[in-house]
Amino acid sequence: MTGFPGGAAADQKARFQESRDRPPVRDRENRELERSRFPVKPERLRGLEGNFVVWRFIAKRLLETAVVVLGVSVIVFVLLRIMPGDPVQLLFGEGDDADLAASREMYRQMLGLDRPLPVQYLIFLKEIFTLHLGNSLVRGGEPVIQMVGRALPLTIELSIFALVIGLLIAIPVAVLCALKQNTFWDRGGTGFALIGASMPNFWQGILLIMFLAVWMPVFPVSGVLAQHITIERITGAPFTDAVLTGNWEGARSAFMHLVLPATTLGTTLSGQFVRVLRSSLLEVKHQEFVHAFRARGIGEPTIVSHLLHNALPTTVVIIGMRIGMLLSGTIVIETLFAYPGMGFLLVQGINARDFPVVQGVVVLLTVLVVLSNLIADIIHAWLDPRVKLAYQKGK
Amino acid sequence: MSFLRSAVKHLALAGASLALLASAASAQDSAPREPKGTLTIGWAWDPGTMDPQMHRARFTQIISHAMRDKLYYLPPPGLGLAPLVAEDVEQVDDTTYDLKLRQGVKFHNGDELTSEDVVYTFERLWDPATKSPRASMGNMANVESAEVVDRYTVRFKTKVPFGPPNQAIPGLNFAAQEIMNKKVDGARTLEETRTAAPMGVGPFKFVEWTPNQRVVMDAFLDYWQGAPGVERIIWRTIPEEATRVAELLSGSVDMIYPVTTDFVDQLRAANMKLEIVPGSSMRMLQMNVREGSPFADPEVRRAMNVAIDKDAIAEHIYRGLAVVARQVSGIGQEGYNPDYDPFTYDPEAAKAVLSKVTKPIEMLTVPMFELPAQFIAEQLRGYGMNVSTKIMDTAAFNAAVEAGDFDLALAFAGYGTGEFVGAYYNNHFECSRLATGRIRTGFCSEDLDRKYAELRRELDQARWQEKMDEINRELTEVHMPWVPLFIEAEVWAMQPHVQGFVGSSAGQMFDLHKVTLEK
Repeated sequence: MTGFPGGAAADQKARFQESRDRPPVRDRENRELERSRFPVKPERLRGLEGNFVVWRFIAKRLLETAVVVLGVSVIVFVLLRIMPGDPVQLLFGEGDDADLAASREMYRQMLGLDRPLPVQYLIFLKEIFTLHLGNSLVRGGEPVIQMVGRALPLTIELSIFALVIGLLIAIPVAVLCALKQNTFWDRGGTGFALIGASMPNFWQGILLIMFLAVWMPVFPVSGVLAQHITIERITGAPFTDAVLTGNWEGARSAFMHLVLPATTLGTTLSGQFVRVLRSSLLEVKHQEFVHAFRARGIGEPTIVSHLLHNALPTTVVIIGMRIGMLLSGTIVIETLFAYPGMGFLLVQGINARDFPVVQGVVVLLTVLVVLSNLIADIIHAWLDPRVKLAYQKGK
Repeated sequence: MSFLRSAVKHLALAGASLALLASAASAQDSAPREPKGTLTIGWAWDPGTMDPQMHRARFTQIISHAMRDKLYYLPPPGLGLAPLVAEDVEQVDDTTYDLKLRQGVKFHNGDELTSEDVVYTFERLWDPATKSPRASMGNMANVESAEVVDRYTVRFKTKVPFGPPNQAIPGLNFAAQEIMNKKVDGARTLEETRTAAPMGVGPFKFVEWTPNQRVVMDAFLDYWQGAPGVERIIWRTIPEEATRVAELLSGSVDMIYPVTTDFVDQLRAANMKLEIVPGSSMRMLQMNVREGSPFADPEVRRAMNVAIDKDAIAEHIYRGLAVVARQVSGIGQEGYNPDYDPFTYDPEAAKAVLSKVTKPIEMLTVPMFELPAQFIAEQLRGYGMNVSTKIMDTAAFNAAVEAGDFDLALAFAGYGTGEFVGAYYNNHFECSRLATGRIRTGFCSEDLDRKYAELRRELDQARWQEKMDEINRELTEVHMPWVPLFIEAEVWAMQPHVQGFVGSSAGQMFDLHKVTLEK
C-alpha cells in the first residue's frame, strides 16, 4: 500500500477498515426491523415468516367465508319464505282428497312448516353447521346432503372440463390477437370473443345437439353415461372414477357425454377470457423487456411464454370471479343435456319449492364460489411475486 | 284431429259413469310369449322415491305401477275403473265392504299375494309414523279400518256411508295405492324403502335406480297376466322436451313422454308414431264472482261463455291436439254428457254485454297457457274490455288463485280418477270450502250443495244420472263460475317398431306388459 502519510495514514486506514466492517445502512435498518418483530434470531425465521403471512391470509378469508355464508343463509331462507307458493301446495297439486285443505295442513305440520320462522331458521343453521342440510320435502324425505353428494361431483367435473376447453380456445386466440394487433386476425378473434360471450348458451347447446348428435351422430345427445355402463363410485365424478378404476370403456363413454355440455359452457367462457387475456398481453407486449428479448434474438415461442407468464395473473383473477358464473351457468346446460348436477338440482328444488334443497344448494354454491376466489388469489400471488411481497409487507 | 274426436266419443262412452267395466285384466288376457328387446323411454321426470306411499306425483306412480299392481286401475285409454288384483267388492252394510282378491298372484320373490299384504299396505299408509302425504286421498280420512277376513278377503269399514261399491271404490282409493309385501316391506325402515328394490306383483321387477338419470326394470316372467312383451325397460330422465325429441330422432330412445304441440309436426315428418288421447285436465277461465267483481253479474258470466272462440284455440293453437270443453264436467269424467252443448260462440251477443265492463281486468295464468291466454285477452279487448295478462310460475299462480286474489284466471282442474262426486266437487264448489278450497272463485250455492248431498245418497243408477246431469247443467249454465275452454291431449311419440302401447287419459302408462318391439 502507498500514499498515506505517517500517523494520519494509520488513522485513515483504521477508519477505512472500520467502515468495511460496519454493515451497510439499509441492511442494518432491516435487521433492526426484523429484531423488533421477532424475539428470536430473525435468520432462522425468515422462511417461516413468509408462510405465516400466507396462512394468516387464508385464515382471514375463511373467516370472511363463514360470515358470507351466514348472510347468504338469511337471504335465501327469507326469500324462499316470502316467495309465493309453498311446497305442500305444489306437492298435493290438484289433489283428490275429500278435504284437500285439511290434508295439506296435516302434512304441513308433519314437515314442521307450521313452526315459527325463527325456529325454522335455527334448525336450518344447525343443519348447515352439522353438514346435514335437512331432508327434501318432496323426494320422500331424501337427505339433501345425499342429493348434493351425487350432484356436486358431476358439476365440478363438468366445470373443470368447461374451464379447460375455455382456456384451450382462449389462450391461442388471445395470443394471436395480441401478436397481430389491429389486423384481420385481431378483429376476427375479438369478434369471436364477442359472439362467444353474447350467444345464449341454451341456443348454442341445441345447435350442438342438432349438428353433432342428431344430424351427424358423433356424440350422444344427453345424459351422463351409456345405459349399459356402470362405473364404480369413488369420487362420484364419472370420468374421474372410470379413470381411477381403469374402466376405459366407461371413461370413453363419460368423456363423450361431457363434450357437448362442456363445449357449450367453455365457448361462453372463452369469449370472456379472450378479451381479458388479450388486454393483459397487449399491456405486457409493449414493455421494455420484450423489446430487449427481441433485440437479443430470443425466439418468438420463448417471448410468448414470457408474455403469458406476465399476463396470466390478471386472467387467473378473472377465472376465479367467473367460477360463480360457471357454476350458475350449469343450471341451463345441465337441464338441456340431462346432466344431473347442482344446477339441475337447484331448478328441481325451486320449481317444487323444496326449501331444504334450495337452501342447501345455494349455501354450498356460495362456499364454492368464495373458496374458488380464494384459490384464484393464492394462484395469483404464486404467479406474481409482487402480490406476495405486498402481502408480506401488510398491504 | 278426427282421430282425437273419435277417441273422445269412445272415452265419453267408457267414462260417463263410474260403472265398473267387465274386468279388463284377466289371467287369460295375453297369450304366452317370450319377452324380447329393451324398451327405452325418455321422459321428463325422476321418481324421487321407490316408496309408493311417500309421494303425490303422477310420474312417480307411473314407475311404481310398472312394478306394483293395484287393487283397481283405469284401463287405458279411458277413466273408467276396473279391478286389477282385486276381483270384486261387495257391500256388506252401509259402512262395510268386502274386497275379494285374485288367487295365485305372485310377488317378484315368489310369495303369493294375500289379504295380509293388502291390510299391511293400508295400515302402513294410515299410520301417522309413516307421515304419508297419501293417507287422506279419496275419502280415506273417513275409512276406519282394514281387516283380514280370510286369505283372499279384506274387510274395509268406513266411518260414514260411502254408497254402493261403484261410488265407494274411489273413496276407498283402491286405484291409487300400489300393494306392498308385508314380509319384505314390513322388515324395512322408511329410509330403506325409499331406495330399496320394490317388491310388488307388477309386470316388471326392479333392477337399478340412478337418481335423476335412469330407472331400469326387467320383465317378471311369472306375472299373473303373462310375461311382458319386452325383456327390459329403461326410463331415462330427460327434463327438456327439445332434448327428448332429439333423442328420439337420433334413435337413442324408443318412446318419449310428454310431447307438446310444438314438436308434433316435426315428429310426424320423421315418421314417428304418435299416441294421442284426450287428457283429464279441464282448462277453464275462472271468474271471481264476489261482490265488486264485474263477474259477480251472471249476465256478464253468460256473455263470457259465448265470447271465446274455443274451436280456434283447439285447432290453431293446439293444432287439433285439444278438444273443446263445453260443460263443467270434463270428457271422460263422471257426469259428462257428450250431447250437452248449451253455449254457441256468439261475438255479437258477447259484445253487447262485455262492452259495458269498464274495470281493468288482469288475467292470471301459467307459462304453459301463455298463448291461449293472449288469444283470449285479445278477443276480450275486441269487445271493449280492458284486459291484460299476467304470467306467473305455477307455485305463485296456485297461491294467487287459492287466495281468491284474481279477477280472471286461465286455470286448470284435473280429474285423473274420472271422479266428479267426491273430492272434485268438494274442493271446487262446496260452500264449506269457500275459504279453504282449491280454487276460490267465491262461488257458493247452498241449494246446489243440497242437491249434491242428495246425489251422494242416491243408490238407483238412473236417478243418480239424472241428478248428476242436473248438477252439471246448473254449474255450466245457471251459476257459471267457470268458462270451460278445452282439454289438451296426452301425447306419446315412439319409434314405429313399438307396438301395443295405449295411452291413458289419466296421463299414466298402464299395461306396459302388452308392449312389444317389432324390430
